[in-house]
Amino acid sequence: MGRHDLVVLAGLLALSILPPFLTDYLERVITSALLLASLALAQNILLGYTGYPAFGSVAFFGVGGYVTAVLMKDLSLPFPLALLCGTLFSGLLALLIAPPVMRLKSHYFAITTLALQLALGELVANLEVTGGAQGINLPIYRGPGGYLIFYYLFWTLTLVAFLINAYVERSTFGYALKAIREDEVAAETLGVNTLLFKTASFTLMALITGCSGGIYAYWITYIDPTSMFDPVLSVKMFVALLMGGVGTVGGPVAGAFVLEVVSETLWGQFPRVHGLILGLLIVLIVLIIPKGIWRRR
Amino acid sequence: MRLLEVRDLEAGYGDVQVLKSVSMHVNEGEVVAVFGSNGSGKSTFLKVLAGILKPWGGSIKYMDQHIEDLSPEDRVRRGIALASEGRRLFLGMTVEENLILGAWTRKDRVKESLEKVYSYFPELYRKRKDLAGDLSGGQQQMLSIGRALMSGPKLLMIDELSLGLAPAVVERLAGILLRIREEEGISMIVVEQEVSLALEISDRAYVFDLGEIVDEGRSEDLLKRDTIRKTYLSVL
Repeated sequence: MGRHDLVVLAGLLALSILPPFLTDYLERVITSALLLASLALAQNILLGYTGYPAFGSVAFFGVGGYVTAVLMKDLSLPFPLALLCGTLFSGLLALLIAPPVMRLKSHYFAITTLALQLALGELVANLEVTGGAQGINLPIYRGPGGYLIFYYLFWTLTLVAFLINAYVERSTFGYALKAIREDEVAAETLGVNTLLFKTASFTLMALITGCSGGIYAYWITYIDPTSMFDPVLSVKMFVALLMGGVGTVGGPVAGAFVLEVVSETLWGQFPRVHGLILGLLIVLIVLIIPKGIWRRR
Repeated sequence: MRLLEVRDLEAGYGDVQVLKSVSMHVNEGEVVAVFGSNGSGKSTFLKVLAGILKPWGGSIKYMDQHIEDLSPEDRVRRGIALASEGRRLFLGMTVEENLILGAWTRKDRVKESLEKVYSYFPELYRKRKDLAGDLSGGQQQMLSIGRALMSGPKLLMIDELSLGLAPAVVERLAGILLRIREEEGISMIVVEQEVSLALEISDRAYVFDLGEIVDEGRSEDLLKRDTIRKTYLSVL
């Protein structure tokens, strides 16, 4: 882990003692930023280190969220167990579809994952068990800590995802992923089982994304196909990743916080044109620092 | 003793057949050159041997065992390594990371292999923290060969050793290859367009044309052959 990444880690750790000093509004903004950071860190494993852009990775966000919600509502499972099942189910789905999907390259792969996201959204909208287009209402959390629990759940998930990224950066597992990113055929000639490592990377991304979806479902208490398989969330996650720096450990976290803070500030100051200004800002940032604010080399 | 024996090998891309009934062999400790004009199938031949391209027909026996159906990973494990055409380095990774990946199939011997590679290519040790993309052409070729050596091969295949390199650099690399052969006893297949170099560093050679072997023999004999001298060495 480089010095830059240690700064992000210190910032993340500092967030754990911040809540007593936060207003409800700020607590919600940071929770949203942590959600976005967890998604960007998950995508970073696949895109940043393995070189595969999953435009539709939010499919696993939806799957994780829906499995968690259905298990809580229909089987009355406690939230931790339902969340675990939602996370594992997302990972299992990724593991099953990876062998054919991970043989596709670049835009073919990206579009296929997007199609998966849209198809799953449609499926969920037409199933009775998922509440169809009406969605699912979940009970409001009334346990100890109140809604602060979701702040800490997203914080924990982001920290874990950050540490996984740091491990990938320096481990032989990560070397294999980076070799695939740089030149898949060359990696194969060195004896790297590329399909196995791509599958592992895809599954890891899905596990983190699915877990994030499960926490989100209980936090929001009402989910429907539109919100859980939302392409806008994919776009936000990609913008955060690109702004922060693809293939860096700290970049996705920095990008997510910058995007969330700038977005919220603009929303407060310029409610009518905040989208336009945010769009222009994103274009400017990408033009001025195309490798992201956290890129070291 | 035969290390590699190829019989009636056929391969291609899509519907286009590139290799037509190629038969050749490599003995233990031998350096074999493969040369021919552009598009003659030399690189395709190495890709089939490395397992990147599936053969359409024929057989490949390595250490008396058929390996046609083995994955690239299994071939590397058995001691077949390829230094690819155009070097195919991981340019965004450091020299040392590239080398460590070379030892992917024998992670328990990374340190020992690194020391060996650094002893042959001291420049790589000095540049070990630099990105592979920042190296000169000659250093990149050293890294490509060094990375292939990291897997502890019995058969090292080098595709286009001299491509884009100054003659002095090529001369030095050729000297190092011969030293490696002598000290490690590694057999080599060197695919090379620079025919004089190919014949100079090899014991035997095969001449490819349009996917077929059209000539073969001891390198010193081929050097004297008129057809070779006129066609490939521009000697009138």
